[in-house]
Amino acid sequence: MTKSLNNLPELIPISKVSDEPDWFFELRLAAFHKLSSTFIPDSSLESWRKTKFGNFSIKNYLGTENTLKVKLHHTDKSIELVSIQDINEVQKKIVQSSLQGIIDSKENQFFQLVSIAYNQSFKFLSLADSFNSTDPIIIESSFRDFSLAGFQIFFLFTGKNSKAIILHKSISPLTETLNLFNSLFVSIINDGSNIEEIQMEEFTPSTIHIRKFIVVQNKDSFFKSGFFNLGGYRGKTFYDVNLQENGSSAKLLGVASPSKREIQDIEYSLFHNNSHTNSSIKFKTVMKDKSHHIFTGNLNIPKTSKHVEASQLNHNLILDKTARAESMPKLEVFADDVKCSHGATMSEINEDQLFYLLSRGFTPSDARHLIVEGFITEIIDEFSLENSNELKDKLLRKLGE
Amino acid sequence: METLKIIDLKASIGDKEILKGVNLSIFSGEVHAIMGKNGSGKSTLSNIILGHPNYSVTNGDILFKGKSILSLKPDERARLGIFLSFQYPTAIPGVTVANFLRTMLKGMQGRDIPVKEFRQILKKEITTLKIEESFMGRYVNDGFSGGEKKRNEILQLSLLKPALSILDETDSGLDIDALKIVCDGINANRSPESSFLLITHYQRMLNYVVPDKVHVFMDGKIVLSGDKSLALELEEKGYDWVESKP
Repeated sequence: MTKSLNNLPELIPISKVSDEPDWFFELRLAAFHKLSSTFIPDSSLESWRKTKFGNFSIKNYLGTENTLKVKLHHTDKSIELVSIQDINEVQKKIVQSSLQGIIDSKENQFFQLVSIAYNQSFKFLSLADSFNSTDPIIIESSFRDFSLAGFQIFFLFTGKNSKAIILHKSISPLTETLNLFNSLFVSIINDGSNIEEIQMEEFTPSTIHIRKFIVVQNKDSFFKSGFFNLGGYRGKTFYDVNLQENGSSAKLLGVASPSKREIQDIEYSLFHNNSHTNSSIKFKTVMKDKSHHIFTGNLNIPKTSKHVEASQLNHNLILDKTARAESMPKLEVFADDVKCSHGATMSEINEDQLFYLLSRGFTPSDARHLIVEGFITEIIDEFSLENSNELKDKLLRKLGE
Repeated sequence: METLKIIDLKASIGDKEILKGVNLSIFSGEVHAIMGKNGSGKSTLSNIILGHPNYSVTNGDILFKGKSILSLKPDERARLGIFLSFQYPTAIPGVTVANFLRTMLKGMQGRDIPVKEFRQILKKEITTLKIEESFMGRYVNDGFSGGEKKRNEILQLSLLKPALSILDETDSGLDIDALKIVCDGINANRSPESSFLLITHYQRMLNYVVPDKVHVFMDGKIVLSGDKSLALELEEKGYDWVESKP
């Protein structure tokens, strides 16, 4: 800890934005003050042991414009993204308690504090009780012209028994110097709701992306997440799911396709805070060149939770011997009545599959393409996405397949 | 001219010689059966005809329609019209049967097949093999029963109509009803232009797909050849009978 205190950031002061509510500015100030005693995460922290950002300096991004362009597409015009100036009392309470929780956290929340303190891009999406739509709600977040930073806070609050598919596209530009996409997402999935959320990260080789997702699930809710990483120079994603109430269930799926010298690091944390809760993770990575992928699956089941089922699987397909995959399941199970499983595989293109396809007249490159396509399609097929072919093509193009 | 002619073929995996001088000629329209004990090298023979990279040919030649195929890669051999129905077909999760079949036909025929035309071709074949249409949306061999895997192999054979089909233990793991369906599928593809090499351990499949010639494979080569009655004799007397023959 002594060593790390040496890297306390040099902070650029913050000031109130004209139409910003006072309470929000106070939260930003509290985050700012907390930052002054929070060191920039480094390898002394377990979660940051693997991912290093080289000569990237956070200071260059703090005082700059970091507003993202956030566009919403949906057939139902009653859905709107609310900015901080327009949020109602219910939404305000959710924002206050969630952000205060992060500010008060004993853990190093450096990048989340940055998102709060320097935030210029806040959106809140509420879905009414019994909202039901099979048309995806598409939210596209991209950098403003010439910006090098995007600090985002996004809240989702679903009413009871709502059903929705939400597709987030996060897009970054290709810039000469590194740009930073730093986001904090908080989702509260209410009783009986069934939410599919897809994150498509279309980052360029000049983007550092640091993301934190916090999902809180209430009684009998079902949350299905699809996380698709399409690039970025370096990235660290924390995906925390709190199965807070009885009967809540989460299915977390994802694909990453790092290439060149990219480092992508995703860390899931599942907290089974109540009984009759289920979770499953299935994350696949296809790697080439000198890329490096790190998968961590934290599972926490306290003693008081009963009838819990949890599984995690991480499959890595390594296309070049120079690519590196790491898989770390970390299970803390204190309860007795649980069923848990975890598994990880690292493999090259399967020779039997290859020979089978060659025997059917596929050329070696077509066969390889089909095997890689199949590997990621198994995850993509889990979602009712109209543009699943587009997503597949992008992932495959990224791999040069 | 023979569809397939194997001349004094020797092959090994690593330092171990598996095929020790195989000679075989199959003419157009003929059905040959190779029978033998487990481990006799008969499955290896089928892999080598297709050019499996794990094996090396140390002697002899394999001619397909008069030309040596030894220098050709597996996919080139397949495109010439050689088909292998695997004993244990590999699963390819994430690739639907429909996508796989259509891409396979496209590669073989060198043209994109319109969806409508593909459906028409498919419909005829799946009826013969009693395959339900929902099968097309499943991932190739993923979670398939033994019978489904073999039917999927024969479906591919029916679509490709190869000049030479090698069926490696297609009867294994099938109950009698499934065996009959699969054999009906094979028989539907018999024609004066197509040849078959059935590799099997048991005689029961040969009741449905009647061979022109039967060969007994032992210790890496063919030791005895005859007509279909040889299969019955083997069934009755066992492989030891062949071993004890002078």
